[in-house]
Amino acid sequence: MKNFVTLFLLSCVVLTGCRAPKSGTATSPTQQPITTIAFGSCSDQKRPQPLWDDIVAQKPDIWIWLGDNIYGDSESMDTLRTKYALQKSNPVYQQLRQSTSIIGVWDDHDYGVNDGGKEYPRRKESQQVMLDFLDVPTNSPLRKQEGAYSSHTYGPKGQRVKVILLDARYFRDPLKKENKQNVPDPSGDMLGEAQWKWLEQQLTNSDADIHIIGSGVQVLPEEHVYEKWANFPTARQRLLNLVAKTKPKGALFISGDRHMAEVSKVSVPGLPYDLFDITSSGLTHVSAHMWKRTGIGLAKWSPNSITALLQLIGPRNR
Amino acid sequence: MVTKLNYGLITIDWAAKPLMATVRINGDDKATYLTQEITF
Repeated sequence: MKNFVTLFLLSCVVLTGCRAPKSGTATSPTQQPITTIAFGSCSDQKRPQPLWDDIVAQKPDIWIWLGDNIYGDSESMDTLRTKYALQKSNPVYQQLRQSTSIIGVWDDHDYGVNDGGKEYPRRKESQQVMLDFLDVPTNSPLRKQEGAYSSHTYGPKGQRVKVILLDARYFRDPLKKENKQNVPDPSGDMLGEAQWKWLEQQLTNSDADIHIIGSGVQVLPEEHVYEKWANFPTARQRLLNLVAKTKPKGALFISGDRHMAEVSKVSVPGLPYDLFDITSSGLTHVSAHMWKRTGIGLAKWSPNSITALLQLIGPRNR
Repeated sequence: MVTKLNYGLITIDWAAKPLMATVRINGDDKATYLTQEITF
């Protein structure tokens, strides 16, 4: 009998893996290499959504929601569900769902509260509602963990892409403010220790060739007063240090939130390539206010990093 | 900086040596407003 049990357990390991689900891991590598990844943020479910046709036409392998996927702003889960349902009912988005792998993470408005962090009382329930929106199976390990962070791996070895989505809300400390303005809080954290540990595991000895790290709020920019990793400078530096320490192949950040798009870049000592933060926002509305405030050709330098904001002028000088 | 409705598009050139990804910010008028080539 003992031999039978041993044989059964060995067979189980060989045939199915028999491993406990990895926290934060949502998908397994696929055999086909992926070449096209689309992403976006800030989609008010009530407003016209003119970009879906273009996005579908690009035939992306993956669509990444980067937060403010609805404007929920409520502690009522029924309200969040209703707003997600409206977003999901868009007929062209439905086409995208049929043809593309959809993944994502939240920012504040879909989390449930503007500029919210770990103090939001319905975060646990809101996580489940968002996972419903993303069609995450009920038996996924993402359903059992605290926080909506996840990793997704695509493509065969040698052409492998890992998308790591950070949850910068669930464990984030409250913003520090002076005269109603955000000010840096060196003692505050963004991810919480469980997510930091998970992230290090995702980056250490990863066999992916490209690592796309998504965050609702911007990782690199420091110069503006809005939400950003730089509001918690110790956490931001910890993230950059972690990337430098683990040296994943081909890492870049993508982000949303800002109601405008920009590219930022930083050189990290110890990392053999520059780190970019590509911000895309928004899908349904942008901020003319931001445009007037920020102006043209802004570049910021600091002793430990270089951030360059690049600008392209479109039709009608916009 | 792009202040039009936009989405991001990452295209990976697996044949490029060194490996290269091109990121585009596309607007709602089918125009590309920002292009960034990233080599690793």
